Amino acid sequence: MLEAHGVVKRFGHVEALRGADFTARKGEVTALIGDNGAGKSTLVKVLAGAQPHDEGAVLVDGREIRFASPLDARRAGVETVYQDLAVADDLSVAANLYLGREIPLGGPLGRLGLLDKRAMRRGAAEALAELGVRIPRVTTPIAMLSGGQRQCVAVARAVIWASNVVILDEPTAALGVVQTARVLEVVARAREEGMSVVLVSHNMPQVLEIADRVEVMRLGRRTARFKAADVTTDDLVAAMTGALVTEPEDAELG
Amino acid sequence: MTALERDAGVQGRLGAWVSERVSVAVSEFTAAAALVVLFVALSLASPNFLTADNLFNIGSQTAVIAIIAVAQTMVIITKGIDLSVGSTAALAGVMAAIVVRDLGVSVWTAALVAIAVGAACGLVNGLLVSVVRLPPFIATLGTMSAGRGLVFIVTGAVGVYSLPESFQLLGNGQIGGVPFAIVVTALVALAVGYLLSQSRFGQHVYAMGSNLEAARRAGIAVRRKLTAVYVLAGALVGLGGVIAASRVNSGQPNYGIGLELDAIAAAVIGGASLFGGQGRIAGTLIGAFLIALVRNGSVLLGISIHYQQVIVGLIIWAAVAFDQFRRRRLEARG
Amino acid sequence: MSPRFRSRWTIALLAAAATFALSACVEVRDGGGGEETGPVDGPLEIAVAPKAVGHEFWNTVKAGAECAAGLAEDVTVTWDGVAAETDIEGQVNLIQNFVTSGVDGIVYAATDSAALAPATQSALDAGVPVAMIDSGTDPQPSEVPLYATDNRAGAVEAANLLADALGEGDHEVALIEFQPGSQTNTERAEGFTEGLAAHANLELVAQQPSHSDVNEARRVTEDILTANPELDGIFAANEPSVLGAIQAIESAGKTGEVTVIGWDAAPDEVAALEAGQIHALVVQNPFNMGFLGVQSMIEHLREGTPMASADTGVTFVTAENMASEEVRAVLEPSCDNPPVDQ
Ligand SMILES: Nc1ncnc2c1ncn2[C@@H]1O[C@H](COP(=O)(O)OP(=O)(O)O)[C@@H](O)[C@H]1O
Ligand SMILES: [Mg+2]
Repeated sequence: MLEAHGVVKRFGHVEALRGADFTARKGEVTALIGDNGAGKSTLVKVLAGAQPHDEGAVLVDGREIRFASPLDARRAGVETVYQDLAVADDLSVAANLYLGREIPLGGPLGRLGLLDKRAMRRGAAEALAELGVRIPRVTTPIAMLSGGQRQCVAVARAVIWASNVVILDEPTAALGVVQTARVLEVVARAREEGMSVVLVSHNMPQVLEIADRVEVMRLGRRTARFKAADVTTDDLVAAMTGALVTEPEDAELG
Repeated sequence: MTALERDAGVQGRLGAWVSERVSVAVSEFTAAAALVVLFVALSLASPNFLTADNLFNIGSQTAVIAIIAVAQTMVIITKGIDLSVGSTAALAGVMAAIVVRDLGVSVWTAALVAIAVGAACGLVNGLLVSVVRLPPFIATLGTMSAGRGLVFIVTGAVGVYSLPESFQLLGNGQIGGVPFAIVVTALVALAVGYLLSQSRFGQHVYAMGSNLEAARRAGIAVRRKLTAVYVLAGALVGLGGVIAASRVNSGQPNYGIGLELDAIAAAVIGGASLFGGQGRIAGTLIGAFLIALVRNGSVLLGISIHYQQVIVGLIIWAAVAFDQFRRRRLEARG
Repeated sequence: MSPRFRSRWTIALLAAAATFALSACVEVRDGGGGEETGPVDGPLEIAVAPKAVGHEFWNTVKAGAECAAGLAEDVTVTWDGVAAETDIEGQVNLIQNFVTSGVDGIVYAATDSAALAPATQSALDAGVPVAMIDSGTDPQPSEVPLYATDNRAGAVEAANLLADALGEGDHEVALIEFQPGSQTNTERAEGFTEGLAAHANLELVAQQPSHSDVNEARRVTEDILTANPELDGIFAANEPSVLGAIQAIESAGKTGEVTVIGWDAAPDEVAALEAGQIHALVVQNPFNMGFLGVQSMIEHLREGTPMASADTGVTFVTAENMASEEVRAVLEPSCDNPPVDQ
């Protein structure tokens, strides 16, 4: 379980998060929605350890954790697809999938820092195939890929490595119908494996289709939370614009 | 409609893959082809070109600039630039000469001193870039100026002369008939080439230059590694500086003014991109030798220095324009 | 004494005598000082700037300047210069800064004759007298003297020395110049080709610049030797050019085969002369430049004496004459035994 309590994040005079709360549970897809500028991406970066927060707490399985770096979050099993994707354009697909987690060669050469590129190519190809992501070659530099293909690589990288939490910030924005369906399949699979999945999306039908619960942000705070089964698109839009405010207890959300 | 056209998706991807491989290779290939053409042309134009002596001369003349261009390439791949290589090389060279003259140490100890001096300059650059977060251009501009000042301070603005014959070993000695400087250059190029293309560190160097934030979020210790790149580059520049000093058996306070431009030119001709994330040691070596051949050939053919400079300028334009063209084509497709 | 050794002392002496006579005349006519710069009694600060710091030559200039200041009372020399001779703009700024900082007089060597002319003029306009050493400006105001080597005459003589050394028969020779476009370089290069014209058996087969960089000089010399395997002689026209050229000849195993005439007398050049790597050196008298520049500036400031140009002379040094008293004074100048006419 991944929680945030009263998180505040300031950029100079701009207060992007003003005491934001958030909860994502194991084996559930939690959708995080909100108008542009509501603070969703900022919250995602705080949860992923990519940006330190100024006040409040982040809890993993009930224990407060302060990620000193993205590496700490990764170690805690939290993987993220950032809205800007955070891929290295000049590196190949395989290199991006293994970035920061390269496979060394066996023996003394590996201890010298030399890489087993063949193993990484093979691993990348297998992982992509398993996720149904179609990329012509894992040796292709990311710069050569279409926007949708890049997004697929970023999603694949997150789900391959996640063991606890997967956070996806608008992962289907650049995708076509078929690719979107694939990503949603991947999301569903991660849930089946018992992970907490956080999905930031503007696509209301998609949210209602895949999410178990929905949390709504407005002006840097959570203003509403719903069980996806109990809610309509109109309710969600009303919550996003501030017309509807509801903060039920955890228990009510089952 | 043919089967190939029907399967346009596969065809398109295959085509993209092929043309991508080709175009990446082509920028290096163009430089290499220019090198070969120039080589053949000079062999035909001058009877004195294709002689072992002349080729060894070219090799030794290019050694220092090649080593420094290799260092520059590492920095350029991180989206940085090192303007301080000339000052660093001069400082390393005069320090090596001074310890030989005043302490009577061997040329090998002097080389270690030079490498350490270079690494120290690199450490300053690295900390300024990664911790103080100065733009690399500014950080190394400062080091360039301060370093040159330091050279004049430690030498009293006089060349360091009266060195023992043995100091020349590094720049003028031979191993099995091959000039030592060439052997050192080859070893440096191999080691750094391998480091960049085959090691985890190298992978991270490209990643940092390509997208620093992505590298950071991937858990790479970007400050430490960026600093390490500058330190390593500085150490190589120090090595280049002591070889240069050894070649003229003296420490020259004015050595290396403008050297950064040669080093950047070699890297860029070889396909390194000032936008970061791209560059290969093989390409840089080709660039360095291309420049060296133009200079050597001009003297052999009695062409004035002014034309040499024009020719080098044309090569830089052509190499970078071609690179831009290639990139735009890739982006248009992507 | 070898005919190759021709001291220009006589000329220098005559020039000095003429200067003296002339200045005496002018002083009478002028009747005691100009309007702008009346005689100064208190302490004097004289700024002295070389073309660039970092070469033996300019340090000897500095020693001469400080010697002249030491012989006078209450005079300090401020020594500052740009890092590279090519940094012309830097020198323009330096001269301006001297004026701003309120020095009493400026003695300097112009990195570029045209570019520095306005800098000299604005110093004069600000009431700061200027004396040029080594390299003057173009135009050069009449009240600004030049204490310099006659580069052209020295280079003509270098060609003669080379011809004498090579002897009868046809010979290929090369010129290593240093900074194409600079006035000193032009004078030496032209003087050398002018001198060669008098020797039909010498052919100039290569001419390349070193940009006053030893490594660069070595590189172009190596390439010239490759291009011209029959090369017999080289005239290298300044200190870094000479040092690079002899390195190249040494590494090509051609020491002794290629006759080198050098310019100036840095310690390694003198050592190479002793070792037989260099046949003769055309040695200027930088000490005298610094000395005369500062000495006449002091007289001008203290007594209002107008300053007048002088040739500082060259000495042709070979292995045979290098032990002589006169030559020693030029090679190892010191304030105890200054190579100047006092
Ligand atoms: N690095 C930053 N520097 C300054 N302001 C920022 C930064 N990142 C986000 N913000 C501001 O924080 C607010 C929330 O942004 P963001 O989290 O990206 O919103 P969302 O993802 O919900 O559209 C916006 O007003 C945005 O301008
Ligand atoms: Mg966002």
